[in-house]
Amino acid sequence: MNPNDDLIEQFEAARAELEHFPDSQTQDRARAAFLASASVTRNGHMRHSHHNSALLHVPVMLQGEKKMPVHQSQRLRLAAAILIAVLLAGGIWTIPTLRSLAQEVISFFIRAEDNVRNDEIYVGGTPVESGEQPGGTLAAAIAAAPFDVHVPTVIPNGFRLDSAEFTHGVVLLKLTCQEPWAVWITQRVFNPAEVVPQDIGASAMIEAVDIHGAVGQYVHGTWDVVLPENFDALRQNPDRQSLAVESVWNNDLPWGKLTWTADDLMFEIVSAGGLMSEDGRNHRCAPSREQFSALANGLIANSALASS
Amino acid sequence: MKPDLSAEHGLLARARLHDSDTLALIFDTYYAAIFRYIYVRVGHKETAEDLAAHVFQRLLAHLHDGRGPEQFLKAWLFRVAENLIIDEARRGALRTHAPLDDNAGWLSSSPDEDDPIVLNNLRTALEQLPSVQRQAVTLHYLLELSNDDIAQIMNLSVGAVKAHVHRGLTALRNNMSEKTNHEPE
Repeated sequence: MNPNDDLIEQFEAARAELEHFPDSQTQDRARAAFLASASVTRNGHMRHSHHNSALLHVPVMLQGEKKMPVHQSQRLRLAAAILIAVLLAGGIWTIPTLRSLAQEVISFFIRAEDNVRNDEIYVGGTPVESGEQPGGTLAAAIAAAPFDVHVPTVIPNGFRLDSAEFTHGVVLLKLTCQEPWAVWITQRVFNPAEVVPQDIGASAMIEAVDIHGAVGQYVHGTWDVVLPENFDALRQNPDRQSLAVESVWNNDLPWGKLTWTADDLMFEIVSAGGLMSEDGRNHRCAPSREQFSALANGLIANSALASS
Repeated sequence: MKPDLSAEHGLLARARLHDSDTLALIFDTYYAAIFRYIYVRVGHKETAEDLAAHVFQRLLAHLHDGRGPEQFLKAWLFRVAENLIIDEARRGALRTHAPLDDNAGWLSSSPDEDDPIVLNNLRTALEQLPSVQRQAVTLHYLLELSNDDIAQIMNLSVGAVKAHVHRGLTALRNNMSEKTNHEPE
């Protein structure tokens, strides 16, 4: 090869240009995120063999079989609505104290031993009324909350702010897209002693997301509840009853959850609804990881907005 | 810093114990090269940043699950990067409904405004090469990896790597010469 070849010179020039990449800011950001993820992985790993499944049992959003026939999807959508109502009313905000989880880096997720777990769902009866109906305004939630509510300034295409409320110490903002797709944003005062990591499948990935310098923990996928054949009949039962089901973790389902802390608050963004709709699980309303990140980075303290 | 392959074995053993200093060392050693490789291929800084992050996230996940590389960490990272690049290319092709032509040219229509000029020109030229030649030439001439390393990454013999690099360079020269001849004066 002729060392004076023009092409070789071009490669040398290109290498010199390439030396400027990545810039130090990008590398620092990536490094911090990587090490934070490593810490999360390490902590999750350490607790993996010790965790008490009873303590870590958390409510599950109902999903159906991945390849369910269309005729089943409507009934499951209804079931999902019932379950979500039950969860809202029945203690999704009730978090037991677990001080041992207050560590250097809080793990908001913990991997299960495998991708299958036993769950308990509630079917039948009449959903319990929470006494505080959703549908309030953002202004009312800001006025009611004893902390500086963070307001979304970036909303994914197709979504709109549907409602806001402050209840049981939590501000809940609901963004809706095409029914029944929705995204919930929750905000509450952060108390590390009250954080219970959410159970995720053994194959789940916990990804670090930069949120104005804070490290958010993002997980894509969710538990797929396998419903029994007689589920339809069970949900007609006037008495609410618990039902033992099996759930399978699925990384491909377009549900995600992003959790982080900042300004002494704990934030969660969760995608909800949609899995039961006929148009499947790759709907345009299923927010991507990038949309989660944009939404999170677009949350600005109301006090800052008011003073600007 | 370019640790030899035997040093990598020790790094991996410590990484499996989630030793944070070791993980930091791995990141500091390989991140820039992985980022550059992806950036050369995709021509878009933000995409390169995202994919490079995914490479290292995948390493963590594999270490966690006990499925991580036993040796040849550098080759493993580059292979993961290559797979992610191809996945992203497919997604890009699906997004734009463009034909998937050997995974090439999928972001070249919208380079960054501050793209380095020489690198951008080379990237366009490299995209005309068959994928195996493009990868070999990129790793050899832009990332300055040894033929041994490239052989590990591409799962080829060193001889085959040399042949692909040589053919790729010849094809590049011919393509660029042809382009120059066809440009209006």
